Amino acid sequence: MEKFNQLLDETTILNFQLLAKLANRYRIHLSVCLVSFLSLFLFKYYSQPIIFSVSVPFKVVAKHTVSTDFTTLMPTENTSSVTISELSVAFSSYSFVKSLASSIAQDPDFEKLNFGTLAKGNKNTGATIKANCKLVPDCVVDNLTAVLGGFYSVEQGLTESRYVLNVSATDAFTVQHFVFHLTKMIDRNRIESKQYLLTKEIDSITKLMTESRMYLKKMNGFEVLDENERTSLSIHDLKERMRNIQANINSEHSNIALLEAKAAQNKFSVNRMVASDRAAKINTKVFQTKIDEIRQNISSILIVPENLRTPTDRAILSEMQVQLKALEKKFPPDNIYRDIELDDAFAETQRGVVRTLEFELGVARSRKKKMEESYEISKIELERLQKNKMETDNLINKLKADLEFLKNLESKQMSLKLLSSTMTSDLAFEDFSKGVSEYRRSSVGKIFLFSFITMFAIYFLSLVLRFLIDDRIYSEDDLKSHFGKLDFLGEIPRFE
Amino acid sequence: MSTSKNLKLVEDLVNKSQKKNEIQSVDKIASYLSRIGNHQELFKVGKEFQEEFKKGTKNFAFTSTGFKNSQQRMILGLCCYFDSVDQYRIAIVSDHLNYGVFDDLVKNSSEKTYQLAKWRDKVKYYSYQHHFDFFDFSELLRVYDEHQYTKTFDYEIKSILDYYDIVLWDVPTIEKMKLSAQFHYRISHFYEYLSVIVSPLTSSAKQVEQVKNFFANFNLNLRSILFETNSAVEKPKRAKILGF
Repeated sequence: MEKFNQLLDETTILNFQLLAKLANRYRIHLSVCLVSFLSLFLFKYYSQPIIFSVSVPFKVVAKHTVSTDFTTLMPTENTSSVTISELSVAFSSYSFVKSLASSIAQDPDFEKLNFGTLAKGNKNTGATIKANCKLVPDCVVDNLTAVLGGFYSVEQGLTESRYVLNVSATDAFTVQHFVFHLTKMIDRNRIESKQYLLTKEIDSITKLMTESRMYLKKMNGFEVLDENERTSLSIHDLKERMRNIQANINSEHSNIALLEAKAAQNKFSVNRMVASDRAAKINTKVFQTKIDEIRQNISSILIVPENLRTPTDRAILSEMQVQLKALEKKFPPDNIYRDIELDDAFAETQRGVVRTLEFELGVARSRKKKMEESYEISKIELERLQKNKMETDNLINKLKADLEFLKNLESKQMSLKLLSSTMTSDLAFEDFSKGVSEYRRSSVGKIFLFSFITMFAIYFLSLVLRFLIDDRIYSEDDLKSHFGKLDFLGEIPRFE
Repeated sequence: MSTSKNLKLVEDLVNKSQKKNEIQSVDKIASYLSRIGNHQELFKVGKEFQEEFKKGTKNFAFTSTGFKNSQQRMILGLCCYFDSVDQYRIAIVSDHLNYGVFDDLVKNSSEKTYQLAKWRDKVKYYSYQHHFDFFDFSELLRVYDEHQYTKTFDYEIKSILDYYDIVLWDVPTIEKMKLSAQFHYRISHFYEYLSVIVSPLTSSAKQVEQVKNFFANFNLNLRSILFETNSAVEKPKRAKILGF
């Protein structure tokens, strides 16, 4: 205790003068500690394994979500929901690590991958794990799950939305495979976690819809809606039909008027033609006979040679030729017979037309009458339907809020399903082709500092310990500490 | 051949030193005093003992943790000091008269005897030029052994010591004392002032404690400590640790 008190000082806590004296007294300690320091430094630095590492930068991209407001059913953006702590927890969760282990276990090169710890750098290949597990897949996954956590970490990047995924392993081949599986699993994890939320939302909406439907069913809401829909359709069809009937009636009415006019005109024409035809025929025949006679007379005169003709003949001939020309001008020789032939056929035809027109007129009138009857029936039906629709509309107005709610839920459900099916990860991995970097777990400076501090502490403790256990007498002070009651007279004579 | 050569060399050295001693035997005390390297320390220590002497102490015993030579040098230094201060009658009792520091003086001393008062026996001693008288523990032991069953041993010794003003005891090593513990027990009753000589680097507190305890058993208390600072002093062998 006396010695221990000597080590302490009232002002400086430690008695540095005594410590300096001890350092000088036990110089061997310093030498041993220096050698130990160098040995420790070299051993610690060169005994640590070389770690292969890849840094994968990634950023949070604009994230889509669905508004809880029913009036805006479109997805909205939310960019500030991902934090480093959330990512760290998510990527170190048991479920994530297990799914990662499953993914790695299915790697074709699994047996070549080294799962030795970074601290020890020991060899623990996939083949070893498989052999230890006797090829049982669950055992392999469990063993991998236990060791995978130490191979990667997430750090904050340069900005708020940027992060860095650090993946390390004891060889380059393994680290590249780790990166591949990790990025794949992170993408899947993000999508699944977001889909999980949407699935929950869809479930709750489906539940609400079921409740709403049950209420409406109880209130016959759907039947009313169906009936209203049917009535509306019927009214629409009926109106369309009535419009068509009306148009047909109008058309038929015009047709009847036209037919009536035509029939009347034809009848009149036929009657008049029959009378005038007879007089014309008689006149034509008279003139034709006269023309024929004149021609015969002219021919008879022309048979006589001109030089034999008498002036009377010539005068008669000239006069008959003038007369013939006048008659032929009035009744051309080609039309005379034909007109006569045609007039009868035409008259007969016209009479047939008159008969047809009269028949058609009768048919049209009959049709118009039927259409008018149908129109009247439709009108009555329309009135009935409109009355029904008014009644269902009243009922629908009473259920309007519930129906609107159900409608919104359906829209929201559809929107969520759409979003769920088109979901993408909110993390975008950037280019990580920088390659694999090699380093040792602790830097030279760190190990130097560690070794120095360790050795200094050991040196200090060894000095103190030796001082405490060393009962050799080095000075008067030591004597006083051991034998305070004895007088210290001085040194004995020294002969030279 | 080499052994005979070495012996010859040793003989030459002895002869040379004897010749040297003969030359210096004119005033050995002054010579010793002049050879002392730390006069101040000697005077300081001498004054302390002189103070004790003035208080009435005349028997000064010196023991150590194994430094016989240091004991003798201290005694010789004190002799020189007291001799220079006054014409004291000084007796030196040692078990190493023929070795070490006293050897030269003893050789140049004349052998004399004291006739014991009650016995017909004599005690041999060596007187150096009327400065000091040297007594050998073995001579006292012989007397003790021959008359151990009498009750007058202490009286006879005291009657001899009464001839002197100052008696300086060069106490044997503890191991040696243990061999004739009864004798030393009887003799130790004369030690009035016991000093222990320790050496830095070689003496440990444990050793000093052993010495202290040993004399405590003789009902003697250590009174003072003297320091052997000569680095040439023979260091005791280090205890083996794990066989090394």
